Amino acid sequence: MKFRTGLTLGLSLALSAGSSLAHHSFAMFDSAKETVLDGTIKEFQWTNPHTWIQIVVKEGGKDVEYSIEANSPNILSRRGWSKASFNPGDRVKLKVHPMKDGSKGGSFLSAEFADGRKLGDTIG
Amino acid sequence: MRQRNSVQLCVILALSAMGSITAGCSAQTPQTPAAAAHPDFGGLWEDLDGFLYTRPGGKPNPPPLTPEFAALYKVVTDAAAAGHPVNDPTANCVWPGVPRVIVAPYPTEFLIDTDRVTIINEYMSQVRRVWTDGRGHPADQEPSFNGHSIGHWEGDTLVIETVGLREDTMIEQSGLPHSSELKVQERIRLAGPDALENEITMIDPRAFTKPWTTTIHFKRHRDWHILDYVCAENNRNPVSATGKTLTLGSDGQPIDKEH
Repeated sequence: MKFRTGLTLGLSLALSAGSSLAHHSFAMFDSAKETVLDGTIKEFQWTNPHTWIQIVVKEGGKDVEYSIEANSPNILSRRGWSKASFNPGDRVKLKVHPMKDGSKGGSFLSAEFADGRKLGDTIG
Repeated sequence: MRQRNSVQLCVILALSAMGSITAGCSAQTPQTPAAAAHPDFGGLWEDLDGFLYTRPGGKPNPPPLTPEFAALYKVVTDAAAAGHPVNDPTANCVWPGVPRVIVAPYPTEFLIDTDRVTIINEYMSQVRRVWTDGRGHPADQEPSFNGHSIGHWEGDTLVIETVGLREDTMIEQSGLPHSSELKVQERIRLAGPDALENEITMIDPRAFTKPWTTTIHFKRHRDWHILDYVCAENNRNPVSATGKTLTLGSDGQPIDKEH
């Protein structure tokens, strides 16, 4: 149960925030913050206009589900992703931009699986 | 019989080589004039400069907004800065329209024919028809998302002019507005073996104090193909009745604290 938040530098954020914003504004996400969600994959929705990673995190002894929005299957498949990039039960740390209002969502930045495998979006 | 086989072979050669190989064919060999006469725009083209006309390639390119439209734009950008994305039609899967579709981060395909160039954008599965048969714009053009496009070739440059655009689309995702008087000019040419440039000029006497130009760069991918983009498949960012872009949980209910 790790949940850490930190401010990061503006330049890398500007770059990483750039490519996801085709279908709608991402103003609901806080591009000035990065949060790591350490949990278990519940579902990966490999759909347009965006893919969604449903991850369950232990918070105060309770299971809390987060909805993490990532790029479209079109863009991600050209970067080597597939519908099997995340599977239910996978233990993973997701780095995300959290929702500005603190609700249980975020936009995807990168993933690190329990076996050391890493997955990026615009970076790597 | 032999004559027919020969003609068929020549046709196949002409088509497969885009008209560049004609050896062994008679003067009557059928040609593909559009392909033979124009540069090779084949394959799919990836936009390398992102999707913001106000910041192509990360470089600032401020629009010369009139006071009226600067005020309209400020409302949108202030709301976004406060974490309240306002009504973006594409969030409800409404088409982006021209010029926004030109810089979507999805590939573009050009089909060059004798009387038209068809531009296919993967984003929102859009099709633009650019008439190159000498016609003008219709006098009674009903405003539409992609407007009415006419074009011509100046050497190896495809020149397009689009008018008749709806004013309820955004020029780009930041919410940049325009009026129905917007005219979009494009100059598209190869800039290298696998490089394409589109110099885009927007003219809008109500929104801009002067023409606004930017150049967008594209990279060719001959091994890519257009994929499905069905926006309504699983749209978890609809716009609410109050104009806010929501985020839905996996149960279909908004997770936003206020909505």
